Amino acid sequence: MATKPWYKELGFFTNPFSIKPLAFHEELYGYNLREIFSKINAGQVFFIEGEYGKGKTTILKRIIREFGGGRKLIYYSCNRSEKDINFNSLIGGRWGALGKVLGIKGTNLILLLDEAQDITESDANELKKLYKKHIKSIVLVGSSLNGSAKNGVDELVGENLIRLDELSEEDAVKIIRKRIGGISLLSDDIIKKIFEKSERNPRRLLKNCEDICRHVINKGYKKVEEQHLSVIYQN
Amino acid sequence: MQWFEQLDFDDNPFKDTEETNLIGYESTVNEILYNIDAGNLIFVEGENGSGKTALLKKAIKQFRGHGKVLYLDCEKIKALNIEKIIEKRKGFIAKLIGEKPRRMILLMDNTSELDKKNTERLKYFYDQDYIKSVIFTGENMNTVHFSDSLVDRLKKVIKIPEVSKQQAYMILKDRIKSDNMFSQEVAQELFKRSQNVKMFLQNAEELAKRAVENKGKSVTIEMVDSILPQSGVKIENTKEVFTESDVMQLGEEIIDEDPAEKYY
Repeated sequence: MATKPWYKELGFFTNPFSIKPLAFHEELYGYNLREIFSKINAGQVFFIEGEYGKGKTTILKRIIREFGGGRKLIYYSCNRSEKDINFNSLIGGRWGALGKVLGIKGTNLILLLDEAQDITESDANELKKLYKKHIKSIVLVGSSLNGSAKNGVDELVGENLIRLDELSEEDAVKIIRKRIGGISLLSDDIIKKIFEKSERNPRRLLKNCEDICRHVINKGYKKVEEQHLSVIYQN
Repeated sequence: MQWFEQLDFDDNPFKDTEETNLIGYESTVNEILYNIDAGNLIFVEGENGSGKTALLKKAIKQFRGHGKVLYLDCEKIKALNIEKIIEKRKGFIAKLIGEKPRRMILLMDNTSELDKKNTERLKYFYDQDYIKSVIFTGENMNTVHFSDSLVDRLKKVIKIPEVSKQQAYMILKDRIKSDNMFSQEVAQELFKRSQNVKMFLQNAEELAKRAVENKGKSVTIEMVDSILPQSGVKIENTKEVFTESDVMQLGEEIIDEDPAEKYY
C-alpha cells in the first residue's frame, strides 16, 4: 500500500467503522435488549423486524451471548437452502449422533431464525407443532413481516412484533463515539448530519463515516467539515 | 533456448506475476488493498480479460505469508462450498478443539453466480469475523444473485478502468524493458485490434517471440497484420472446468500455474 490507511494514521489498528456486529460492546444503543431477553424468558414467539443494516445480526449476537452455552440455543438462517428446514435434525442435533439414532429431541430450546422473511409455509406449520413441545421460545428476525401472511408466520407470531427503527441522533453519536472515542476529527454535530444523510441507518452511517474520514485524512485535514460530506454522494 | 532468454529474461515477461506493474490500474490496486485492510466486502467489475486476476495477484502479494489469504476461482470450482473450504484451512489441533480460523481474506475470482447457501455462509462467516474481507470479481455485479442482506454489506462496487492507447504502449515498454521492440505506433495499433488487455498481451507476446526467432529487433506493423488483419480476429479462450472434488483430491499437490483454490 502506498500510504498507511487513514485509521492507522490516527492510531487505530483496524478500521473503527467496520460494519461487523461487535458482540463485545457492553451497551447496545437505541434498542431495548432487556425487553427482548424477557420475552425469551417468558417463552414467547416474536418477530424482530428491521430493514437491512438496522442491527438485526448485532441483536442476535447479543442474544447468543446471553443465552448461549448450555446447548439450548439454536441459530438458523432461513435462506440457507432452497429446501424446507429439517427441524428434526436441527432439534435432535443438540443430543449429538446418539440422540439422532434414538430419536431424542431437546426440550426448552430457544430457536433463533435469521432472515425469517424467507421462511416457507410448511416450515411455519412445523414450527407451530414444535412450539411448547420442544421449543420454549422462537425469535424470528427478518426484514419484514409483510407478506408473511401467506406463509403462516403471522399466525405464529400474532401481534408480537418488535420494530427496529427508533435510533435517535443521540444514539448515532453514541455508536460512533463508542468506536472512535472523543477525538476531534468528527464533532457530534457532523455525526448527526452524516446520520441524516445515511437515512438514519446505522450500517450506512458506519460506511459513510469510513468514506468521509478516509477522504479527509488522506487530504491532510484534521477535522471533518460540512463541505466534506459531499463524499457521500460521489459513491 | 526460449525466445525471452535471448532478451535476457529468466521468465516470460508477458506472464502476470505478483511483481508485474499494473500500469493504469494503480488506483484500483490501492482501492483493493485498502478495503482488504479495512475489512470490507467489495466487488470488482471488469470484462473478461480486463485484468481482474492480475489485480488479485497484487492483493496476494501484499497479504500473503500467514495462511490467511484464500484465492478461489469460482469458474473452475463447480460445486462450491465455502464452509468446507474455510474449515479445510484449520490445522489438526484447531480441528481437535473445534476452533474456527480467524480473519481470513477471501479473493473470489470470476464470481458468476453464488447460490443462496454460499451467500448465507459468506454473510455468516463475515459477521463472525472468520472472514475479515472479501474481494469479489466478476463481469457484472447484477448477474451474481447476491442476497439483499449481502448486497447491503457490500462497501462498494469498483469498475476496472479502461486502458488508454498511451497506457497500452507504456505497458509493453514496461514488460519488455526496452524501447525498441514495440514502437508507439505498433503498440497502439496492436491494442486497437486486440479484444482486451489480456489478448493484447498475448498477441504482443506472440509477436515478440516471432521477432526474436526471425532475428529481428522489433515488431513491425506487417507482423501485426499477419496475426491480426484490420478487422481483428477473435481468439476463443478455452477454460477447463474442475469440480470441487477434483480440487480436493488433487489436494496440496495442485501447485500448477493457476490453481482454482489456494491458500497463501
